[in-house]
Amino acid sequence: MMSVVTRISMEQRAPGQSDLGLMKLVANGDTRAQRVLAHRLAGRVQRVAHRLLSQRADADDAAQMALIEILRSAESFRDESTIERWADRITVRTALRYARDQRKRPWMLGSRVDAETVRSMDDDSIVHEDTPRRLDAYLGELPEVRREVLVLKHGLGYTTEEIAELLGAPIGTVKDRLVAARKQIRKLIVRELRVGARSQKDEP
Amino acid sequence: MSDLDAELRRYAALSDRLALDEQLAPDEHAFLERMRQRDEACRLEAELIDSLGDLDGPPTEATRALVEAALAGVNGPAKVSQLSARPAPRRAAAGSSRRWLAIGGSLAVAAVALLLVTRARDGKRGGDVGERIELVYLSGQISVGGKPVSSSSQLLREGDVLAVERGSACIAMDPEIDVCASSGTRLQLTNTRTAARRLDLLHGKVAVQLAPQPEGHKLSIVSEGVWSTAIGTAFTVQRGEDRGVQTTVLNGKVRVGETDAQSKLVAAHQRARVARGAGARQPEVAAISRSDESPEWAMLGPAKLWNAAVAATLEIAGAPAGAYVTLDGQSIGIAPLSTLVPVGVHRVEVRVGSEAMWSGQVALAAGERQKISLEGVEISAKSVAPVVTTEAPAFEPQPTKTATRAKMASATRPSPKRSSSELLREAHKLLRDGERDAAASKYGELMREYPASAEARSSLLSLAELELEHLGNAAAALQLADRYLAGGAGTLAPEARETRVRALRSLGRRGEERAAIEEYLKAYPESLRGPSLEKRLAELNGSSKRE
Repeated sequence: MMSVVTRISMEQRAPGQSDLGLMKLVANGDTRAQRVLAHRLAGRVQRVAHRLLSQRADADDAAQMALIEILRSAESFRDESTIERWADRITVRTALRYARDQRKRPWMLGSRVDAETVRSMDDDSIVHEDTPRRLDAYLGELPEVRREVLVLKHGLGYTTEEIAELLGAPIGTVKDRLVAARKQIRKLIVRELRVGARSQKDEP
Repeated sequence: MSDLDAELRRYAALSDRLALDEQLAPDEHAFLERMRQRDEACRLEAELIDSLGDLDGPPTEATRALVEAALAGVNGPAKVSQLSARPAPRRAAAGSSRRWLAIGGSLAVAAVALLLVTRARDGKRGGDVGERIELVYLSGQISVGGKPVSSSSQLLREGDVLAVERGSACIAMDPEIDVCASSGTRLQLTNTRTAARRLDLLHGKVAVQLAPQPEGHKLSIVSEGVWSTAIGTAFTVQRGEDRGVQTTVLNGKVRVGETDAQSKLVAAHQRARVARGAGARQPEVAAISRSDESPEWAMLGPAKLWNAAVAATLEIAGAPAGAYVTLDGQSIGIAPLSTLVPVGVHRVEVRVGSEAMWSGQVALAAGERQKISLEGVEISAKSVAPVVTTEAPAFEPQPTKTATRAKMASATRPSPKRSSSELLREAHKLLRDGERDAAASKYGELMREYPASAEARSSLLSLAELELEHLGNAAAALQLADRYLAGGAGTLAPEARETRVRALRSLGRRGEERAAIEEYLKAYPESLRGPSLEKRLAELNGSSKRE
């Protein structure tokens, strides 16, 4: 009998039942099914992590942790949403947890290097492979808390209530951050259109 | 407030309300749509927000690496962690999650060794592979098939012979194989279409770095009948006139020998030597020191130039023999040079001995090829401008690495008929690209041709930015900002006031700077720059009290 994995090719996936079948195989430790699932989700996981986290190395680590978590959590998939949507939630939680842990690290407290310095130190940061250059540049200008809210809202389509729950923050705070992020993006666009690109080391 | 300002404010308020899950009336939706069609800033904002949701795309090499690493993480050490097997000095200094990656890497190396032992040398298990071999880096005098080559980003074919007369050259093969050849090397691409790829080292020395290959795939460097075979590692092979063939393993393990029976598995930090002469030629294996390894790794140094996902080509021509080139302070080879580099703004310097022949900033867009010709530039005459030519990205039926990457960005070409707004856009682009002199000239042209236009007025501030940020002329910047403000209220008044503040700070006119900040904060109390200006004001007030 043809296995479920054989039937589910990367390009032609049957929705619903096949997804559930794939996830059952993954949960049972079928290595081929794991590979199929990993290939299907890896790009998306990477992009979500890169949108959420400003440092490329952090995003790479978070993406790897998230994909491992997804493969290990296949048993919890209930077919109530798509695999992608289910995986998004795991990726978001993993990336946010990672970001929180990074912020708590003692060497960061009180000595957080400003964003521009970090960017100049990170020779990989010139371009993030999975992010369009313009988007990446704008996201890079946002403080991480605003960036998170913006990505969760507009990138992943969560409601403000869901974001508040994910971040463990009051709804009002989430709304404030979202509006502030949008305002900052707006200002950056207007500035670029009016004056041309300029150094961000221009804090008076 | 102008009508447009009022509309922009309404647009911002409505789109924020929408973002906060509020319901809008149909006419409000229609207004948003109209503004996106009419106003560039609104359109860009909407596009940017939409692009946040673009989460699907074709798999990349990084995606495949992530898959392997995650599978290794789930199933334990039996799988190869591609992320950690590649040399990655940046990651080595990071946190705890990277430590387990390093452990995974060690286990992965063991797995690579196990796989190597079980593989047959002829590679019959593997089928055809997608062939893309690209000459990505040329530094010095290089030829392919006996013909001199001066530009990188060329695809090579099976059977080609790469010869490095002077300098070095590197080729990239899919998937994730980098091969760099040093001066005096001749390398034949003997078999590149099957899973058992073979390159023959006819003379000289090559350094190889390859990510763990797909199942059944491997790469062999063959020299004087000695095979150095690997599936995921970094190593060098040198064919010496008197020393026979020497294989130095930097990472992972490599099988070395004439036949399977005589071969040995050589581990990282070991060197195998197969002497010349008849009879049984068993490899002699010995450990090497870190200092012995360093020159071998150095051969692979250029690899970081083309491993960025989005790249452009930089060429340096016309420099005298012996001139070497630095990119952002790092030496990247000798001239003539042609290499892929990450896109962005780079500081390039051409030096002859201790003398800087030319230095400047170059801005490279994805897929762009920029050639800096130093013909006629004297070593002592840095003021002579080199000829810089730029080619737009080329989209060819069979794309090179550069052209493929170029799809990630688009280039805009100037229109022959230029209105004031077109001139302004061109000037802005030049500024963004780091072409400051050209940008200044374009702003000047705009002010001459359309002196009464709004664009000419906004150019005052662009020029002020140039003077202040790049030319270090704060006095001129202050003058330009004042000229803008003297023209009455304008949409760029906040920027003009802010430029004044920075110019005054640069000039050390603290009293005036304080007054300028106070004016700014009074005029724009909700500005995003408010907190940093308040901080600066507190500093100024604190220091004045101490004084």
